[in-house]
Amino acid sequence: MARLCRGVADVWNITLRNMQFRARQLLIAIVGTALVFAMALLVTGLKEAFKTEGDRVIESIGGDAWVLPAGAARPFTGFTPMQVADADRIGAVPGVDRADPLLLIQQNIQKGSDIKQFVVVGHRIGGLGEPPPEEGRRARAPGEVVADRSLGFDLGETFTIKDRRFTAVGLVSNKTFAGGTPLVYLPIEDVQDLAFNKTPIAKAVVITGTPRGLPREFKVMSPGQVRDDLLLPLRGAESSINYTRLLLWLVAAVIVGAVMYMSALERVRDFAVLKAVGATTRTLVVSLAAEAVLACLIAAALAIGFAQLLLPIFPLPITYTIGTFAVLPVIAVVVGVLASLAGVRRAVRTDPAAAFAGT
Amino acid sequence: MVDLKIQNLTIEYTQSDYVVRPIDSLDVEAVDGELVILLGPSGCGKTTLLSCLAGILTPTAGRITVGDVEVVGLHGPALAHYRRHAVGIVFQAFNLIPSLNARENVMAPLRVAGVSARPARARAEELLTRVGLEDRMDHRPKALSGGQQQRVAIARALVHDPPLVLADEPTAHLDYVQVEDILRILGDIAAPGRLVVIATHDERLVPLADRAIDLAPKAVAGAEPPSRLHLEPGQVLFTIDSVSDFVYTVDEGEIDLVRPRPDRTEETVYTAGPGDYFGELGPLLGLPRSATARARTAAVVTGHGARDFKRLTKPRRMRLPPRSATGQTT
Repeated sequence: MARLCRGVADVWNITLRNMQFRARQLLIAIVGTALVFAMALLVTGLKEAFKTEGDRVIESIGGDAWVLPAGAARPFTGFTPMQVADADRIGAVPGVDRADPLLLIQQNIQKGSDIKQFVVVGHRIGGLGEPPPEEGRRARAPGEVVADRSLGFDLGETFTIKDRRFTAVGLVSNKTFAGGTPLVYLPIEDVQDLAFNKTPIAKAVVITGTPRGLPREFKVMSPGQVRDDLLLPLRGAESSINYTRLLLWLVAAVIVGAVMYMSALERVRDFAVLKAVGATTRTLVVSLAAEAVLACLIAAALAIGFAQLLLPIFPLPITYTIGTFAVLPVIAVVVGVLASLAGVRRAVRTDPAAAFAGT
Repeated sequence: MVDLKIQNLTIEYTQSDYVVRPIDSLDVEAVDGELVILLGPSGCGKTTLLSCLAGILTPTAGRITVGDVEVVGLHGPALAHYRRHAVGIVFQAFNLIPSLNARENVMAPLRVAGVSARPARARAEELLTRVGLEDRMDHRPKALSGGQQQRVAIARALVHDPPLVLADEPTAHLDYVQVEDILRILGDIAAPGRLVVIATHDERLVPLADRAIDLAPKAVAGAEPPSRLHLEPGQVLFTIDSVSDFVYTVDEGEIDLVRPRPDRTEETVYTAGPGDYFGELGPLLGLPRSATARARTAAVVTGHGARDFKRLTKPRRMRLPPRSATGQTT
C-alpha cells in the first residue's frame, strides 16, 4: 500500500496535468458518470425506501408483538383467519397488557380518472393498529377513516367503497409500502363488512407486553419478522434494483473507460517517451488508474448533488441513508479502476521504441 | 570514463510480412568525451542503432558496451537503471509531453525515478537555465519554438547526468538559427565523462564530429562495365540487405525476387523474365537490396552500373516497363 501511495505521489503531477489538459472531455465524462451514479443512488434509495416503509407501517400499527394462529405462515402474505374473540383470550394471558385484533385487505377506489390501490388496516376503535393522525382525529365510529395523504383526501372528504360511504377524519404522512401504496386505517367492523360479510374474523392480534404461557394454538411474531413478511413480495423488485444498479455502475465504468481509452490512444507517444526515460509500466498503470479513480470520485461527489436535485421529480419514495452515500466512494474507486483497464492495456503494450518515431 | 564499443552488431526485425536487417555486423568504437555522428539516409538503421544503445531494442546479435556495462542482455531492474541513469535521449520531433510545461517535462524522468518534487524541480530549473530557458520554464511545449522545445528535450536528457547522450535527428525540424544553438549545446555537453551520439542524415554536421560513422550502404560508383552472368536454377544472384551494386536485365530464363517472411518461409514478390529489369533503385539511391534474387530456371542476366543503366534506359524508356519489374527498391 505504501508503495502504491509512493507511486501515485511520483506521477501525481503528470496525472493532474493530463487531466487539466483534457479538461473538456474529462468534464463531459464526469458529468455523464455523475448522472449515472445519481440514478444508481436513486434506485438504491428506492430499495432503502421499501425497508423504511415497512418499518413505518409496523410502527404505525404499534404493539410489541403480533400473535397469529400457530398454523399461520405469515400475517401479510398468508391468510389464516382467527376470531376477534381470540384477542380477548390473548389479552387475558399473563404479561399481555393489551391485545387488539387486526384485519388487513387490499382495496381500490376510483379517484378522478385514476384507480388508486391501497391497503386497509382494520383495527379496533381506540385500540392498537391506528396511528395518531397528524391532522384531524382518530376514528370514533364505523365509517370514519384515517388515511395517508398520498391518497389525496382532504379532511372531511367522503368516498365510497363497495357502496359504503367513508369519511376521512384524520390524515397521516409516509404510511405507505411497496413503493408508495398508501395505507388507510378503518374500524375492523368496516373491513369485516367490506370483505368478509361481517364475519367477526381477524388476521392477527397485536399486543403490548410480553406474553407468558400463550395457548398452544397461537404463536408470537416480532415486529421485525412481520416487517420481513411485509417485504416478501418485494424481493423480486429488490433483485431487479440490484441488477439495475450493477448495470448503472457498468455504464459509469464504460463512460469513464471510453474517455480513458481515447486519452490513452492520444498519449501513446507520451507513454513511449516516459518508458524510454525510465518510467516503469507500473508507474504508467498507477497514473492512468489514479486519473480514472479521481474522475469517478469527482463524479460521485457531483452525483450526491444530482441525486438530491432529482429527488422531487422521482415518482417513487426514496430514502437515503448514510450507508447509501458512504458506499459510493468505494464504488467510485472500483468503477475507476475498471474504467482504467482499457487505457492501461494500451499503455502496457506501448513500445518505448515508439518514442524514436518521427512526427 | 565512458567508452562505447559496438561489436559485430546485427539488428533484424519483422516489418508486417517480411524481415529487414538494417544493421549487419557493425563494429564501432568511440571514446569518452567524443561527439559521434551516425550518418546515413532514412532507413539505414540510425534510429534502430540508437534504440539499441538506449537499451530499448535488443539486437539480433552482437555486443554493446557502454563504459563497463554490457547493454545487450540487461533486463529487469538493471535495464531500468541503465535507461534511467546511464542514457539521456533527445528524440526526433522533441517528443515533449504536451500537458506538462517545460519545467515539468524536465522533472518527469526524475519523478518517475522516485526523486521527490523539490530536488527534481531544482534540478530541472538548473538545466533549463543552462540551456537558456530560464524565462520559459512555465510554458507548455505548444508555446515554445522548435528550438526551445529541443532545448527542453536536451535538458530532459541531461537530467540524470548520464554518461551517454543520444540525439535522434536533433536538427530535423529546426531553422538554421536554431540548428546553430542546438549544435552548440550538444557540442558543449560532449565533454570528459560524457559521450554524445547524434544520428542524422545531415552531412553538414560532420565537421563538428569527433567521429563520423557512415551507416549508408556503400553503393558502387556506377561506372562498371556491363557484365553478363550465367545462373544455374536456384543460384542466388544477390541477397536481401546486401549492398546494391548492379541493375540487372534478364536476357534469358526467369529470376525470382523473394523476401523472407517472419515465419522463415519466403514470399515471391515477382518473377522477372526476358526483357525485364530489376534492382535499379538500390544502386541509384544508395539503398540496400530489399529482396533476394534467385534463378528460377537456368538464366542469363546482364549487370549494369547505375550510371550505365541510366544511360541505357533513356533512349529505351518507352520500350521498357514504366516501372521496375518488381515495383520495389531491389
